Amino acid sequence: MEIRQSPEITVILETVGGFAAPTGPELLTVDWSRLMPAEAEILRRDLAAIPDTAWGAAFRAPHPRSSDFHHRLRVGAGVLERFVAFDSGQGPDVVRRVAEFVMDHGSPD
Amino acid sequence: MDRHHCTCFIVPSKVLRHLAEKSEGQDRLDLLDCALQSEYLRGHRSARGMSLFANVAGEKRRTVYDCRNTRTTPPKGSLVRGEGSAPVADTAVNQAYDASGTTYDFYSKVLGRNSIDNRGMRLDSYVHYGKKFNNAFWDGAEMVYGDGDNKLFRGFTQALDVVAHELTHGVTQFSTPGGLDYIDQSGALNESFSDVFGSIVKQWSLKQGVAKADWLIGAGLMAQPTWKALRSMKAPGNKAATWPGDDQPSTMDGFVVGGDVHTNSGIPNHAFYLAAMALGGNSWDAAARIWYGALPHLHANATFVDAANATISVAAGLGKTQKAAVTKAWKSVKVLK
Repeated sequence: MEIRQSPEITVILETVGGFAAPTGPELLTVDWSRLMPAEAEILRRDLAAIPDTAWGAAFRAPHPRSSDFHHRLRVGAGVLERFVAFDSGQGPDVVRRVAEFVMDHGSPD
Repeated sequence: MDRHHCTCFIVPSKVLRHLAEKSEGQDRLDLLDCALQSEYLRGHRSARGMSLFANVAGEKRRTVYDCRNTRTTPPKGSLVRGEGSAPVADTAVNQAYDASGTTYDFYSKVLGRNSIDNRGMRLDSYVHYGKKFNNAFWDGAEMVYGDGDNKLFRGFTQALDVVAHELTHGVTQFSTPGGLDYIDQSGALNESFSDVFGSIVKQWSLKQGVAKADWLIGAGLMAQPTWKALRSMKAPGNKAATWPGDDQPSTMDGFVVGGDVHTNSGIPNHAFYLAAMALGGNSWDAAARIWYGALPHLHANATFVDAANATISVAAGLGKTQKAAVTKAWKSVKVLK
């Protein structure tokens, strides 16, 4: 997937866990227009570095703990959307790095 | 050791931890702090889940940090209240301080437990996490609270049972060999033990007997006026008593294969409610001791039947009446035939 700073690229992180888990996932969306150029560059670079084999995969904790969260990173361009699902601490480093970026910079609306 | 100025990172953190395990008192604390700092700077976030925040045995120590609506992993904040210091102007800070203290006191005074890990773990709380963050969680090392968006949830620090619920996840982690895997029936049991002790701590705090208790989890926390709580141990799945999304079964007839741990936990929750009601009096007397006593007898993949057998075994040690009450409860929810 070509990752450009474009309104067509949507980056959404769904997270379920904690006390409020029964009420459903929290959705955080990246607003590219609010990112500093350097931040946007980091995000673009990391998204492009996600290995092809990760898309569509689910990286689950072998022995999940109550402190683990379930994440689903969704990246869309036009009609194409890919996702990678992973539990806390699981999956490729770059996926977790993108997730932390979205947690730090994403907004719930 | 030069206290609070630990820069001895040439020593591997695992060596520091080993030395700390062999030490006592302040030396132990210093070594543990040093190990933690070392692992932080080395980027080993997994260290946060370990019992590094040790404290002198039997000494309660709480710290509350203000994240100032920032959201980082791990959480970061300014220290705003420590053990023994006076209340501050921020209600959420005082609520987190008080609720963690009440939970600590319950485990200490009623069950003789020395904090979450039974080794004096410090209770760290982070409040005002994120903006309008609709959640609270135990991350394996500390409690983290959002303020809620006032549409779905209100601030999470106000609910003692929520705090006790989350801290009990830590108790379970340290009490059951290997913890209770947070999936399938063992995960539902993990959730249920947290609800059980969340409710008991609230009842203990209010000095409410089983007949007067509301048996709700998260009462008053949901922002919609008609939503009363997240779960009911008395009537799992009764949406009128809780909220429209309540999908909990109360017996094995409604067990959801592959279902969420928060769904199937309704079954052991209801078993505890029935046992506590049959035993009568206060939940923190016999019922709490039976459920707490069962934790070490479970294992990572424990099933509802395992929990039934463990609680019945502990109850039998208290007497025939207790054993009968607990057995009947598990039969009522159809875990036992």
